[in-house]
This record gives sequence, structure tokens and C-alpha cells, in this order.
Amino acid sequence: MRKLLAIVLIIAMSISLLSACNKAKPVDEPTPTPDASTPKTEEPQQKTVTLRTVSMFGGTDPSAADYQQLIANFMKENSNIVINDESATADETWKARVTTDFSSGNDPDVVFYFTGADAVQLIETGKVVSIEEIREVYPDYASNITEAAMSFMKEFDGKHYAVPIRGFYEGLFCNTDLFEQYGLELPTDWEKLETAIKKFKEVGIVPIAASFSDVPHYWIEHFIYAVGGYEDHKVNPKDTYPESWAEGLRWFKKFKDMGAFPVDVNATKNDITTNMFYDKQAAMILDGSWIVGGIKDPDTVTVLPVPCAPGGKKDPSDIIGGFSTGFYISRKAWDDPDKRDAAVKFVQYMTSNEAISLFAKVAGAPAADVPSPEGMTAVMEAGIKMGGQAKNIDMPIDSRLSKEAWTFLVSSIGSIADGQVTPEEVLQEVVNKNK
Amino acid sequence: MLYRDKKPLIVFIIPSLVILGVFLYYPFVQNIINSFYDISGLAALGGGKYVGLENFRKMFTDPGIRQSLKNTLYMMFFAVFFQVGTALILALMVDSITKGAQFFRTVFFFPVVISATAIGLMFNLFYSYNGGLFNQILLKLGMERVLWLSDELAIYMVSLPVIWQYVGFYFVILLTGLNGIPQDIFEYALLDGVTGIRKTWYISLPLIWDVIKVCLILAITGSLKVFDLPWVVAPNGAPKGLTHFLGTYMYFKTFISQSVGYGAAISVLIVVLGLVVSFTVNKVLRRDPIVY
Repeated sequence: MRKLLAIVLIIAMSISLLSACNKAKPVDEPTPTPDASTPKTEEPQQKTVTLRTVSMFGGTDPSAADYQQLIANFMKENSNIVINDESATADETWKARVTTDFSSGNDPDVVFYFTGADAVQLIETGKVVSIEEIREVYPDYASNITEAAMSFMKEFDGKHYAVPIRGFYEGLFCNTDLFEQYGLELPTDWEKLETAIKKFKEVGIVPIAASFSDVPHYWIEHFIYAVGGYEDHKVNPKDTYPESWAEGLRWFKKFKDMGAFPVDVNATKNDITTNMFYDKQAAMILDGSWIVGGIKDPDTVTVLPVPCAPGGKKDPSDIIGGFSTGFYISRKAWDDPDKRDAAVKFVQYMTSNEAISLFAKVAGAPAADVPSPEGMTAVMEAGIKMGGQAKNIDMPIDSRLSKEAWTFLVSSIGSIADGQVTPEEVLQEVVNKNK
Repeated sequence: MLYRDKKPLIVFIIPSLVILGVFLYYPFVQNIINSFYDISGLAALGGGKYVGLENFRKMFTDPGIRQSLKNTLYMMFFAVFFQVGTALILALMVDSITKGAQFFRTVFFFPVVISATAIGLMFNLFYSYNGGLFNQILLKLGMERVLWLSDELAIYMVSLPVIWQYVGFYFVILLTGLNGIPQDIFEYALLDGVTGIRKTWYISLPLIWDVIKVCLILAITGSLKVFDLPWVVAPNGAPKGLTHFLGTYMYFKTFISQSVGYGAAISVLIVVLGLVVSFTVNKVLRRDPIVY
């Protein structure tokens, strides 16, 4: 009996080892395994192409469901293409995973990824194909994308690589019902912002939901923007930094001393603080258009640009936003004659006007000329209005700074807010690391 | 040797050697080579600049390394006294009962099989200032809320779940060691009037000394590379990098800061420390084996 059990277990283990093999074996494998990490090409007579796609439309992203639906529709219309999709919420860990995949030869065929500083390595090592090159073979590729959107996609070498679908904006989201409840005006200028912070602190509501240990990114951008304005914000500090940057970062300590942030701002997580905002335990949150999907009652929320700081140069309507993501086709897929056509078809499907309407419905401005979606909530309308009225729209600083410099700045915010280190010391180190 | 013809042995050993070589030794050596280069960016494909010992020199002035080393030493101390210590006390107690030993083995071992990420997330929620379990209990008892992950308390709060999870692991190992002591010895001891604490101190402990030594080495080297739990409870060494351990700091530098060469240097440091510490512990705790 024991011998029989041992033999059965050995056979089961051997089969599981065999099914993990990724070479096309002449032996019939029992069932297609869900191993999505390596594309399998099956016997020539079927001509089925498997594409491995990676995107950030997973987890808590508001477009996750739409994206999966689009994939299902695509596979129905193209029965010879199988999509193995791996999507997860975009955060630093996910970005690291994508770059590690590329560097280890595990390139995805199509990836929806960031542009700017994050894409530099992929472009320098030739891992992704430029739109110019794709257009030599497929002249209509990405032809429906507006020029404005495409202009954000231009990389350091003058070429474009990613096909965008929607832009994003960042702004100060406010729970209007809490403001009304305590008789406060919305923070359209700095004085009103400070008044609101002090009042909310008094009544026990967290004025601004934020997590310095996790994602202090938005407050870094906007404090600098509020003091330095568009001209100083868009600088890429190579040898020196603008004085306004130090002035801007000083506001971290001033706001923390005012009690603007949660008590555990240095140790809490972004998910927890965002939920505090959704659950009306916090009055404001500085975040991006992607959080709109999770807002529980969107008609009691609005979004405004961060006001100009005292003595600052920011135009009150200026916002941070732009197009910073798009679909890339990897060199590996492009060089594979079977996959090239399928990859182009997939990207064109995902960036068609119909798909873009779907994606832009939940957040941000569409990259193509599509009609405004119906059924927009108060906060969605406020966001689009804010984007339309902005005098200047600038991309975030982290799209320009080197990874090491930006990470150093991000991890120093807690210490700046606690007054343990001066903004000047931190910025000098940031400049040193910004190669 | 039992086998006259040794050739079949070699045939069976070679596959494991090959796998070990490809997946363990080759990356290990490559990592040591990487630590002499300045590689920024995960997709840089080894196209880094040769900088010699610069990465190692940087470690001497990096406040992050100092903090991580300090925290790792704390963790080693906690691991030795609280993890193995508690496990030893529990093992001695469970060894002396007749009924229910199996029940305790299961219950104490249970945290070991829970995913570290799940435990980390759970404790992260416990420690949350607004609405976390611990603060809710304090509020219900009429007390003030506590900032559990404050600058002073964070290191202890982050170490707590790490220590708690593996007590059961060492407990089972020590209990097995205790169970392996022949009962005759205890009967002779009883005849000589040696019971209770004296029995434990003079008989049980010396006889499981080798097991204790193994547990201590495992605990100490484990604390050198701990990563998953601290990272989930307090990501990026929250607050302000004060809860970074060598393992989490290495991850932070390699995957988030993308200074791959520097991260490789940190991992070499971890290996060297691990070897030095295990060698030292082995030497310090060596005793002549007791033959019975």
C-alpha cells in the first residue's frame, strides 16, 4: 500500500515537473498549464499566437474590469490570438518587476508602462520598439492619438515609444460634505487651506490624508510647485537646485506642526490613508485622477488645484498632469514574425477610439478625440474642468529625476517634516545623485 | 560504504549539483562580481562601470547601513533570548506533561505555516493609529491611543511578529531533541533524587546542547536575512528608515533605488557577517559531545 502511494506521488511530481517545461515538447501535455510567464508557440498547423501582456490595470485600478473585458472581446474577435495577461496595481514594486523581467530575458510582448525616467533604461538597452519604426511597416499605427497627447510621449532621443490612452491629473480632492458640515470654504487659496486644516484638526478629523513612508510623492511635487511655480518646477536639477525647491519642502514641517497629517503619517500605508479619505475620516487628499474610481459617493467630492503658497510664483490654475503611460511593443515581440502582427493588432485595439472612451471614462483626459462620456459624477466633472482651465500642465518631477535621486528625496521626507534634516541638505544630496 | 560500485551514486548526485551550480553558485559568484561595479537600473544588464571597492567604502559612511546593522543586532538579540529562549521554556514544559503534548505541538507550530505576508499585513493593521486593533482596545479601556510605530517604539513593534512567528519552529526542534533523551537516564536521576530544576539544568540541557546550538545558529543567521515580515509591517523601513534591517535595506537599494551594484555589496556584507557569526557561535558554544 505504502509502495503504491509512493509510486503515485513520484509520478504526480514528475508530471508537474514536466508541465513546467517551456520548450514545445513533441509529447502531448495533459492540459495547457496556466504558466503565464513564458509564451508558448504551439504546433505550426494551428498558427495560434500567444501574447504575454503586462499592464497596470489590475488590483485596485479603476479600469481593471474594463481592461479584462476588452481582452476578452479581442480574443473573441481574433480567435488565433491568445492573450496571457499579467496586470497589477502600479507601484514601485511593480515597476521593479517589469524592469527585472526585461533584464532577465523574460520580456513581455506588450507592456503598458510609464514614460520618462522610468523608460530610459528600456529605451537605452533597445528593449522596446519606437513608433517611428513601427510606422514604417504599419503606417496607420496610433494614428487616432491627438498631437497634444503624443507630444508628451517624446523621449530623450527624440523618438516616441508608447501609445497613450489617457492622461492624468493631480489635485487636491476634498470631501465637500465635511467642509459644509463645519462651515468651511473650499481651499481655493492658501489661507483657506490653513483655516480648514486648523478647524478639522480641532474637531478630530484628519485634515489631509497622507503617508510619508509610502507615497509622499504628490506633496513633494505640489509644495515645490506652490512656491516655485511652473518655471522652477520643471527644472531638472543637475548641478544646483532652485531655491524655491528648499522653500517648498520647508512646508512639510510647517504643515506637520499644524497637525495637517495623520499622527502615524511616517508609518502608515497609502492604501490605509486613501481609505480614510473615502470613509470621510479625512477631509482632503492630494492624489491623482486614478483614485476617482474608488470614491464611494462621488457627488460629495470635488477636486481643486493646489493654491499658490504665500510668496510663491504658482498660477492658481496650474496643475501637474499629462500623459505619462502608454502601450509599448517589446523588441522581442517585434522581431518574432508570428508575434509582430498580433502585438500591433492588440495595441491598436486597446488604443482605438472605443477603448479610449472606456478608459478615460473613469479618470483623466482621453488621448484621442472621443466624445465626453455620459453619466459623469461631480468629481469627474471637476477634474476635467480643472484640466481644461489650467494655464500650465507640467509632468511630475519624478519623470525627470534619476531613480536614485528621487528615491532618496522620497525617503527623506519624514525626516524633513520632523525637522531632523534641512531641505537644503537633502536637496544637495539629491543633486549629487541625479546623474 | 554500503555500495561496492560507486558509479550509480555519482549519477544520482550530478543532477542536484548541476541545479545547485546554475541556480545558486553561479548567481552567487555573479553577485560578488556585481558588487565591484556601479550598476544603476535593473535593466542595465551588467553594463555597469567598474568601481572596485567604492561600494564597500560607501557602506562605511552610509547612515542607512549603520541603522540596519544596529537593528539587525537588536533582532539577533531578540531571536536568541526571546525566540529560542521562549521555545526552550515551552519545550521543557511540554516535555514534562503526559497528556496534550500533541495538541501543544500543533498549536505552537501553527504560526510558522501562516504566510509571513499575511501576518505582516495583519500586524500593520493592528498598529494603525486610527482604527487599529490595539488602539481600539486602548480606547475601549478608556486610555489614550498610542502611536505604535513611533520613532522609539517602531523597532520593537516590527520585531514582535517576526519573533512570534518562529517560536513554534524552534519549539518543535527542541521538543524533538528532548524526546530523544532515553527515559532510563531520568529514571536513574530520580533514584538519585534529582528532580525539577536540577534535572533540567544538569541533565536535559546538556544532553540537547547540540540541538540548542543549531537553533541558535539558525535564529542568528535568520535574523541577518529577515525581509518579508518587516517589509510588510513597515515598508521602506517606516518610520523614516528607522526599521530597516540588512535584508530590507538591501532590497530597498536594489529594487527601489535601483543601485544594483550597491545592493550587491550589501548582500556580500550579509553573507560575510553570516559566516563570521555562525563560526563564532559554533566555537563559543562548542562542548565535548556526551556519549551515553
